[in-house]
Amino acid sequence: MSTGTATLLLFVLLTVVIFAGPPLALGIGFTALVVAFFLWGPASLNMVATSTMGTMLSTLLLAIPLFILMAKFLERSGLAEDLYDLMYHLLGRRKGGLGVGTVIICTIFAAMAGVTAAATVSMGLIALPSMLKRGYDKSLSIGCIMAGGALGVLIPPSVPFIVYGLVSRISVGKLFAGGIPAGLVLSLLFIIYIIIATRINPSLGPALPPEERLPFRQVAGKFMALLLPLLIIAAIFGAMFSGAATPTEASAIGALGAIISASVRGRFSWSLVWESCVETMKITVMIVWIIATATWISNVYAAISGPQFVIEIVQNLGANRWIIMAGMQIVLIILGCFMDVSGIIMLTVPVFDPVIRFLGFDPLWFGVLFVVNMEMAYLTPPFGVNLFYMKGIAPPGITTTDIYRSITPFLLLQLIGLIILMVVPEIILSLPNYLFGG
Amino acid sequence: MLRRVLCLIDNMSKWSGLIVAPLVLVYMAMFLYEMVARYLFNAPTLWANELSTFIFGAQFMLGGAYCYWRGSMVNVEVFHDRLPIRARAILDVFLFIIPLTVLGAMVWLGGAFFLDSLAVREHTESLFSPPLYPLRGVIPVAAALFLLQVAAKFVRDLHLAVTGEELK
Repeated sequence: MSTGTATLLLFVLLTVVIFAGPPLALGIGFTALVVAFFLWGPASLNMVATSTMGTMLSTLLLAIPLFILMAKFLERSGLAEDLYDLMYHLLGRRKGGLGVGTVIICTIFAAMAGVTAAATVSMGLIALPSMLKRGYDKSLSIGCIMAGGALGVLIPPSVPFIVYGLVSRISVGKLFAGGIPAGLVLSLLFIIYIIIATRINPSLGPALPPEERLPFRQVAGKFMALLLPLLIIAAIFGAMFSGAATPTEASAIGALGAIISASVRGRFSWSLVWESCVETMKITVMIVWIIATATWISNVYAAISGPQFVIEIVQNLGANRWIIMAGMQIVLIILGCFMDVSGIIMLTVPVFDPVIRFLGFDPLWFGVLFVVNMEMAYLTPPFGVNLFYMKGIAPPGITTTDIYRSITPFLLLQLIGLIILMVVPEIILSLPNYLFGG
Repeated sequence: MLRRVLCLIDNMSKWSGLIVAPLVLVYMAMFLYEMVARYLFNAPTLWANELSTFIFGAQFMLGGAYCYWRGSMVNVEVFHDRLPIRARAILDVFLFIIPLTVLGAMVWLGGAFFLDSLAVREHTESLFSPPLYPLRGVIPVAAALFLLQVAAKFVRDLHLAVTGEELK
């Protein structure tokens, strides 16, 4: 069988199998085994033992459960309440201030958590009822929480970057460093949008009435809320970017920091620890099984010279490289509507990364763009996970239609952010180049 | 009888998962110990990295059955989850070939690699050099537990597909 036929067979079978709806990890593994069996016979199936063992021996992967554990502790640590209390009194007196404050808290949370659930759930429970009570527009309130929550995967620590680093062999530290400026750009876009929207139409986010405004002296006391989060962020970033600790070790420090925060706030209990462990395992196992079986399929893809075949196609297209880049981003957006982010990374990076290098783009820059794009996957109906988190915790008056409608402007902002970061590569590359030398 | 077997399988999945869940605290503690030993006492350990990796490897493999049982193994829902419940059961009966192939291969070939590894008392090639065969043994055991849970779901789907009623 020629390379071309084998590659096509692989892609077609994979699409049919996973769209039939079995657990993603098993569907991916099945495709790999079937194609390998037809091409090379039974001996090739040994990868279910050898390649899986490789995944089980990867130390980098341990950062995934530890960063998730950290997020689980933070979710229930009460830090979000304190931060919201600060933002409420500090920014609430301005039009749209609670929305801006929510995005800022989500940004801070994103620097402490590697998944989107922590900020989305915390802010959905704390900020949403408060904003609605103050007469904020439903759409604006829900939208800014879901979009802000999605920053969790872009601003390090971030689980998708760990998966991306694993499959592309790009340093996770560099990817993390690139995620910081990218995340700040998106966060800033959300804030500017909220400010402009509430300036044009103040009924979207009215300022707090004067009698509710605290004198500044009292507000100043609330700045203590920032202390614990900043300490945790400083510890993780400091350990990682100074080279003192590996990302995995930094994740252990972060998890410890989160437990300490919960204890300081008097929220520590053994049931909190137990539930966090179980929740962490549920998410981790789902992700790592996908990583394990997707590694089989990328072995098959490499063995049939898939990368060379795809590069040849790109060469024959003769299109401008930016058109190919745009095409890849569109494919990612479409996949993001249907598939889990870890699955998308594991399945498309072995295809896209060689093409990116061939076209002369910076692979690190593309890796960060990839995750910026993946943020949208958490927000696109009908399967964006943040939409489900929101539906699960929103007050009864909020319908699925409300949630879908609220996310539209923020998805457009995400897209604008993606384009800005694509057109000006220096934004993403600035920090990794500064920290690690160009 | 059948119901009892299914219930037993559910319980096995449940407890295998709940037993390995707290291991996350163990490897977290190992990493912290390693950093303290390295920076405060200038005495890095030989074992912390490798042993914690082993523990995590065993944990995520053995957690498979539990996560499947709890329904947290994601799938592409766009077509599958929109079917009426009986049609979905019929589809799932046919899709059973997928877990059967994947997990069956892991039990069979994973088992063969484990036996080879055990026969030569295989160790890793690090300074610490712990035995590798227990970890190799985790693959067939974890896949077998997972396969049992998938088979239990298959029986339930088959019952629903044929009779139109759920098997409690």
